[in-house]
Amino acid sequence: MKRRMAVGTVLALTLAGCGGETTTNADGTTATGGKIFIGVAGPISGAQAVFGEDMIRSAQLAVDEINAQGGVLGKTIEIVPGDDQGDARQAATVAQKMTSTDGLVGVVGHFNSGCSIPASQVYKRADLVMLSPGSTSPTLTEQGFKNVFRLVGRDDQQGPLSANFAIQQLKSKTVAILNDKTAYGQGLAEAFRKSIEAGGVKVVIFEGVNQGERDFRAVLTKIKGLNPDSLFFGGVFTEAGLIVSQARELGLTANFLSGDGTQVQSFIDTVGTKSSKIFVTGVRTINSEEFLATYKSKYKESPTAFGTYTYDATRILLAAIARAGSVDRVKVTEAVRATKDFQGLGGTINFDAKGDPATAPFDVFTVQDKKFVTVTPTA
Amino acid sequence: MDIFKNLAGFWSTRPAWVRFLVVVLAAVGVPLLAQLTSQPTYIMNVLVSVGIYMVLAMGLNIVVGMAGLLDLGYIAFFAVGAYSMAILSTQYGWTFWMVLPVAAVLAGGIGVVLGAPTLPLRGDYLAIVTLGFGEIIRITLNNLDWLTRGPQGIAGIKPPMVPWVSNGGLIWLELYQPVQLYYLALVFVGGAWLITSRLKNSRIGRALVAIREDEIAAAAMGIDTVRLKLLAFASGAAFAGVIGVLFASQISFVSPESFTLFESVIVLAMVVLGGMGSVVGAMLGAFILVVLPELLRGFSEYRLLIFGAALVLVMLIRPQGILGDDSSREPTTDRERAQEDQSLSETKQDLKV
Repeated sequence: MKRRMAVGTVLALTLAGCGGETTTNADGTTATGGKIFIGVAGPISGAQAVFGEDMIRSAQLAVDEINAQGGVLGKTIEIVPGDDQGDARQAATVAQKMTSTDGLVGVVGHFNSGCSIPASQVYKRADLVMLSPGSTSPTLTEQGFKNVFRLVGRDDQQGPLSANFAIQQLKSKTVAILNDKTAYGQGLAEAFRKSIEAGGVKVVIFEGVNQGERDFRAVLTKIKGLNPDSLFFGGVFTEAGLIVSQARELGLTANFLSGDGTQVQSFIDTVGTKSSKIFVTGVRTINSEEFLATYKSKYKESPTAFGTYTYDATRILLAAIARAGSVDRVKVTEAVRATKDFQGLGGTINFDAKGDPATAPFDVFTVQDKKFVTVTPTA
Repeated sequence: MDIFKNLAGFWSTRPAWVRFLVVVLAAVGVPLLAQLTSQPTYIMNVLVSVGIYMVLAMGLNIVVGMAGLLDLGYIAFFAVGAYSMAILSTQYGWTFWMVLPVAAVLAGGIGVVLGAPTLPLRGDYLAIVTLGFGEIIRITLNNLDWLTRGPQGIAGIKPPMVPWVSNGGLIWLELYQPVQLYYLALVFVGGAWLITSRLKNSRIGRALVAIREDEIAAAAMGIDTVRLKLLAFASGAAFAGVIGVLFASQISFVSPESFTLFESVIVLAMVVLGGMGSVVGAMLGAFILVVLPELLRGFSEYRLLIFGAALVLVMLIRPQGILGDDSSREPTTDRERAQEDQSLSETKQDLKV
């Protein structure tokens, strides 16, 4: 009897699952009546859930604002979340689900480049526009798809920015480069190397470390022996924080440079008092006080750097739907492409022919009083 | 679980041609049924994933289910197939069908290379070595930048093509729509089912089961355990290699992130859930483990929690797997032990005669 009940529970769970499915579908069919759907796809569960969650929240803020003003084309906007778990196969499935949802006119996502690239293929075939807030791999827009856009700068825009800063402001002559052997970290490190070498700076070492490692003293000792002026790390905040604190412990005093994956508060927490000579490129935030305040009051947390991009991406998409005057997917894609001088949180946004932001929305930050502050160009 | 037994009993007493016809009609008809729902392409896409995992599970079933070799690095062979397609397609312009045999031979060959040094190992020790092997393949793919583009992955892999008659004469039709890929995956699943189920009932299959149950006894009966274990590794790996090619050309993008230990564990879970050694069980396991998380999408962040709980529940209710063979199970109750002892003594008496 117990077993029967257990089976019953499983069945009930499955049915409940089906039930959930049908309600979304029912919503989908009512879309023509009073709702417009936009997809938000990212790693909502899994190791990178913090980014996926942040995307949903930020997009929701943008949607709430528009809905409070009466929606778009007289219809309310609703978000359809898609969880790709940071996995390529899941991303393709999520993309299929998005394209086959009635009344869905655009997707904000995906987050990881490894997800955005296979998903973009699916969206392209369905003429559905996608705006990625976090995928920095150049490959994404080099595929030549007309429906793919991103808000974040490419690795090969951010790398040179950091490189130029090292050459012009820090007057570096020799640099050491480390990366975490991920698509993001390695891509960024390669881009940095390319432009720093073009600037006549000597790269003394270019090496990969494994993501998840906790002790970098071996490679840092080696770097100390080579005595570079600057150390660049392509990777994210967990490893970056440990690298900085271990480097300083070993007496390696070179400038530390990194990218937007490092511009996270917990990086500063890890580094603690050893925060001098840190220069990271990150999201330019000039008109974002209001967004940050609303976000904090609603969710009791600060957004990650990608929250601002998601917020902007959602607003651009919604503005495009309004301008297109239609929920036709092709027309919306064209309208996104025609976006001109959109006032985003990090300044004016325009797209180039490939769908990349025309000017990379990055600034160089340094750490002061446990906060990231912009380095003024004259410093 | 009377309901399973009754159903299985009813099913197995139907004539073979009826069973065959029902399965084929169901498989071919699914896309038509999907048209009745609001998201046919999504359903088809999920079913393509199901097909890919079915072949993987059937392949691993040869290694784990039949031969009893616990392989935790199985996804590495899948990676070999996928990367064969990625590299040969984007760099040398090979088509899907050209890569298939290459991937099968390559993955099978690597299976032998892995199998050879691990022959004396059993159980946990073999699991650890294969786990290490799986990681070696993944990390190699991540670091061999000149060939695999490292963590950046390889994009722009061509979809499979089939010859097709259109008004322009004979053309190569690119299969990228989920419905088209569904039928292609169906062919692979059918093929894998045909091969593995016949293998299971063949002399080789029985020999593999004998090795699983007692390797020393099997060797004493004249079974060439070395050759057969290598064969199990190679054929299991070849299945993974072949379906890896389909995976790569379906997704159009491969990167090392897709081939983590977690994937190996999921495929193993499919085999165990369906029932070790049962070919249909492996297929059922794959179906459940791919479809269940999709059904639970409505629960967003709780879905993996529910998914895990459901798995635990199934294993508690039916430890030998859903379609696992009852007879190969250890006797658990005193009555079962007594019955077994009696049947053993009966056999002894038979031998005396």
